[in-house]
Amino acid sequence: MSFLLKCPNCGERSVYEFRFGGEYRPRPAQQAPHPVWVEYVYSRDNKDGVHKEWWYHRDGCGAWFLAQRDTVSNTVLATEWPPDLFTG
Amino acid sequence: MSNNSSRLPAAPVRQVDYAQKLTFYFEGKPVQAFAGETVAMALFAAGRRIFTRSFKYHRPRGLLCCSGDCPNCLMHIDGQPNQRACRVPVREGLQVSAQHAWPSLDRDLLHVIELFSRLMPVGFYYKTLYRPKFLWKLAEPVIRRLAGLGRIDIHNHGHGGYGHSYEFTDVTVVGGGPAGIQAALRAAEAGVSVTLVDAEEQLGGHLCYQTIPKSQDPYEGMAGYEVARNMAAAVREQSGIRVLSAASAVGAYEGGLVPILQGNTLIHLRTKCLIVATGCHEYPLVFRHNDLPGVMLSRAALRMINLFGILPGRRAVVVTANDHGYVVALECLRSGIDLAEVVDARPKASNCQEASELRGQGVAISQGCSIREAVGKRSVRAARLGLIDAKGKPAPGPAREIPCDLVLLSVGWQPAAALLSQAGCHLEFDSLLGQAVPRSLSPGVFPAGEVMGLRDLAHLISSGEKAGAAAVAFLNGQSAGSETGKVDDLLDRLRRTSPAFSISNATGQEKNFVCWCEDVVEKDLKQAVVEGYDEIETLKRYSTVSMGPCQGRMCARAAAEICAHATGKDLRAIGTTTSRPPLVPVPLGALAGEELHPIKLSSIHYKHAALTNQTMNMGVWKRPIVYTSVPEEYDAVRNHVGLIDVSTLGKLVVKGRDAAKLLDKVYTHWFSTLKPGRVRYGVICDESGIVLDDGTVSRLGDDHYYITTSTGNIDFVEQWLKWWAAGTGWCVHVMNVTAAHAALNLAGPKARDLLSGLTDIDLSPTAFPYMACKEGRISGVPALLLRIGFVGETGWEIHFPAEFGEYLWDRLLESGREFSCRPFGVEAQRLLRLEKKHVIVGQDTDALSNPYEADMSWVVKLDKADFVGRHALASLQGQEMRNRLVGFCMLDGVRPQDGNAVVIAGKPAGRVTSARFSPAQNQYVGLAWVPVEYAKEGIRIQVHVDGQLGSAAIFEKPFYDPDGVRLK
Amino acid sequence: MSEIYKLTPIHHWHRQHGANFILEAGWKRVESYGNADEEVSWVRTAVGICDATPLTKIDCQGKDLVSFLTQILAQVSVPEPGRHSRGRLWGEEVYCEIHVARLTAGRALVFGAPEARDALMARFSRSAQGFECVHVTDLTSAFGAIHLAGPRSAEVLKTVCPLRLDGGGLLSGLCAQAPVVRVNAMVMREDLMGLMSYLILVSRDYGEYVWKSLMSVGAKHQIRQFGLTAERRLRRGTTDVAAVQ
Repeated sequence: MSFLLKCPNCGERSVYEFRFGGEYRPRPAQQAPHPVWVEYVYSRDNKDGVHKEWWYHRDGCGAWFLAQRDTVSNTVLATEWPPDLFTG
Repeated sequence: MSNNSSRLPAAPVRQVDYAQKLTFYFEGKPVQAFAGETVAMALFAAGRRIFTRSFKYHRPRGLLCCSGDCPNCLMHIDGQPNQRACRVPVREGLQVSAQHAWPSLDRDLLHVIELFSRLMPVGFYYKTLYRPKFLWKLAEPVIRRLAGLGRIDIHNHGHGGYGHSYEFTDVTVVGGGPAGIQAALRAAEAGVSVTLVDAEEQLGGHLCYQTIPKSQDPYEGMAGYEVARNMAAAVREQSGIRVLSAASAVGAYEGGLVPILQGNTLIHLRTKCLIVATGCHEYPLVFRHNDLPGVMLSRAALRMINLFGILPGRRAVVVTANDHGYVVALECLRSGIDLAEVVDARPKASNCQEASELRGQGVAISQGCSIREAVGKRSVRAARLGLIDAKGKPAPGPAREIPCDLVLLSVGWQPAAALLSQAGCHLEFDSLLGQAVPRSLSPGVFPAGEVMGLRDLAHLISSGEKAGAAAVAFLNGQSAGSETGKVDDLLDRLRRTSPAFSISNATGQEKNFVCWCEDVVEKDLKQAVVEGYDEIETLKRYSTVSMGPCQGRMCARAAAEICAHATGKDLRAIGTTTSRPPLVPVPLGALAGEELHPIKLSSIHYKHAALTNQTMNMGVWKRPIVYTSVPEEYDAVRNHVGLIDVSTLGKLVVKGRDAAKLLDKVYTHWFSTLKPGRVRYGVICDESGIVLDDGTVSRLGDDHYYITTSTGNIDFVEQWLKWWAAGTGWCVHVMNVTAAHAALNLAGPKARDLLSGLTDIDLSPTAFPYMACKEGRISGVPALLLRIGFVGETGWEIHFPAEFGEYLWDRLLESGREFSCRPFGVEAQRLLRLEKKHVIVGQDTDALSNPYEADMSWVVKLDKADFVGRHALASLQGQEMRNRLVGFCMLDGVRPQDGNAVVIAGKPAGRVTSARFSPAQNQYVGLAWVPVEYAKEGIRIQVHVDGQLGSAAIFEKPFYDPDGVRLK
Repeated sequence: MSEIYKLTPIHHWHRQHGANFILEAGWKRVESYGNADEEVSWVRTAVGICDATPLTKIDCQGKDLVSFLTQILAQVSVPEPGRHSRGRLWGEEVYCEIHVARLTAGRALVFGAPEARDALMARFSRSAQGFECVHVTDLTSAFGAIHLAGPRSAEVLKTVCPLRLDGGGLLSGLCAQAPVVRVNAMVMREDLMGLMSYLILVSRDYGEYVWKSLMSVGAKHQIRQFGLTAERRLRRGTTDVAAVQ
């Protein structure tokens, strides 16, 4: 595994500089039914194809961002700040 | 063995410096050599013909490829096993020895194994030693001694000097032959940065060892090596090309990573484009005794003769199926080798210029003929030749024996296409070109030269030109890049005008070796197919063909042919096995690189080091375990005052208008309600309610918090807080300030007396109560004081700029002398906190511990509308707990240890997480997880310690100062 | 009671290697390791390493960073993300040179002379109060700062840092955050009178480790340590924080 990720702050870097943060999934409201929470806490899509996922630039700027990655080819299609995030 | 194979006179083509004599040692005996020679060449010149003994049967093996591909010259050189003697340059004093032979290469008694070869069929180990199981245990050490490649010298820690380097380039060209050079020139002319990687010291590839003048423009009349030097000069003159010579590509990875091994350095080369001009390997032919020393690939002979001026033999038979054989034959003839015969398998005579010249010189050339057997015991004595048919199969008819000591094979090529495959390109066998050729390409990856099936110099250069142009087009964002690089017209012409002729490798003989590395013969492969391993990938794994040091470079073609023959399929259907990285042997030291072990040092480290050498590693930190003795340090804290360096604590600053919002979200407790100047204990859970970390949170201002975390968790907590802030749009910033602040915990009944002499801050219990914080100066040092009590005594955690670490440590100890102040270590701290039953997250809790069971339910504030883990904790609250973390006190003299099992009613029911001797209780005490029904005061449990059971009673309250009066 | 002093994380290494110390702004700093003339010529021809930890370092971050910096840096434009530049700070009571490294869109590190630390912090904190979302934190103590200078400094750095350092990479005037000898670092290239030079900031607790590692990987490039006198001579002629002291 040696693909490159484009950190929105630092530019293209080796994947080894980053921490993988798992799938990007909306968090249920506190009042959501228990099964919805169980699903959120314990299940993952883990699909073969394009994922939206969290990455953290551990060895760089120390920011979290989102990447769209094809889990079959490790092609990173796009990286972006999470919605609403102040881009700094 | 001929001992008088002397060296040829000097010539411009040579890479040897005859002015510089060197001496090295083989098996302890001196060998004379010249600078520029390799170990194998010098040994050959000194008369050595047997270089190794084969893997399984200990057959004698001599030089075969002379280019670092085959396993035939693996030796122990300079303390390192498995070095290819044909690649290692001679150095003064170098120590070389044979491996895998006993007692010596020339008289290897283990050769008797071959007598039992019939008892060692393919898959021998799988079949023979499978049952009964004990047999393998007995046989393994014997087999390991007999087999294996080389011996690692565990006392030799290598040369060191390994290192990494990070490089970036637009275009990487692997292979510095004519195609690669031309590609590099073309790309660099367009202004892009180019890295040209070649395994040799000199650029030029196979041209370097050709002396016959070329007939093509623009090099008409120039010898191959002169063309090579011209082209190399052009590379030197062209700006923008960086040449990595004597370097090998290790593989092609995602993200354009092409690691390059150059000496002891592993270069992490990132490239936007990759041009693969790696050429072809000549493959040997399968026939009886084809592994005898004296049977050699034609390019090996050319290297020996021209680069090193060493004759590979005196009388040669050249076996060929292409025009290259005539080039080799002519080079041999010109160097003074007696050419016994050129054996051309093709039915029609060649009309190449070299063939005409050979005919003119009266050299015997036979058509439609090939070799059937090499004759000889320890080296070739004669070649037995016979007719073959138009399909390349042996034809009926008598064999004739030609005396010779050298059989040169120029029968075909297989592409060195591993980099292409790894880069995602697909190859397919082309019978007219006689090799696999690229069929589909990946973006930014372009082949050039022989690897595409081309042979003529003009074609090679032309394909290089096209590949260079294609790479530039690709870099300019023109998708037509891969189209530009195509050489279909050249290949079509080649297919039409000179279709490849292949001599069949399936001959049905015995002692005909397919795999030199693992001693696999044709019969073994056929047997494996019969046993059901009829697919090339399974055949490989079962027979081990292509799994040895040559990685298929010698054997892949023959194995595929034999598999095709045995299964009735054609070569295209058989396909090829996958070539995985690394493509060349990479020392583990090179992968590891420079020895770098990050170590964090507290700013007070050298003060500790002067007092104690008993330190422990805590992640990347080093901490003092004990300075004098635990009882003394315990006594200081409980009865006087003690000082411990807690700089390793994780420290975070959280600032911003929305800082309180973030902490309320992440911690189970309220922090928006915390008043400035106050400290609160905080616990972080995940969404399933598991405790992740704990620490103190101090509010320094409305929008300013100071957080401590456990030592090993700082990076995690920092990331966790940032993650929960990400995408919220809040104005909040999390800063890791662990390194910025030294931290000292001063604790004990005299702590207040000591500290008040050094500061103006009012330390009185009313002005500075428990769980309060204040900023001020201690001995002139700006500091933040937290009034907390991890060890259970009145005390302050003093956080201050790290550059004052040593200064303030000294001041506190100096002023503490009159109060009997002592520094205390991690061990005393652990005991002191255990007596207070203060939990260490990660020590006393694990990945299943929630705050209720860990006896921290008071930190969970379900009145908050939302926080991380709230849903899970709210659900858990209604449920009955299974286990609880409780204190226990031993009732007998048994000494429990961290990790011991708790036994209830004869069954394991829990475990001890921490245990120490408590001076306060005058007994061993500890914390343990026990089923909730037993977690009640006074209930008897047992602890299993080293085979004996100790009795203990549950102890609900802290072991020391249960009401916390000493902290007030 | 002895006088108050500050130590850099590399202090003990300096001591073991014959450093002559001087006290500046409370810091024990290396004047030289014997012969400053030799140190200067060595750095000019090969590569040298110098402890620059005492530099004042103020972290500024927030949504209003650019307007904040614009206000503070009178008459100097705010560097783009990934760039750094030198400028002057205007104020009633503070007038000094500062060096701004814009790490990201929303974060900058501002460097100043060691003795300007308190004044700078006071000035920054006060200015920040006028903005909705800007926070300033004194991170002087958080970093060890190492100055790597000389024509061969890139050769040393590229063996332990995966940043592109040549054309198209980290040229003079640029800064980046990346690992150096396997730990987090901020690397800033600023050539001194044409002499290639990098400032490397690492977590203070890694300071000694990073210094020793650079000495070890730099050995094949003949790396040598140099002191403050040599450093100032190398800088002479440039507008620079240290020279103002």
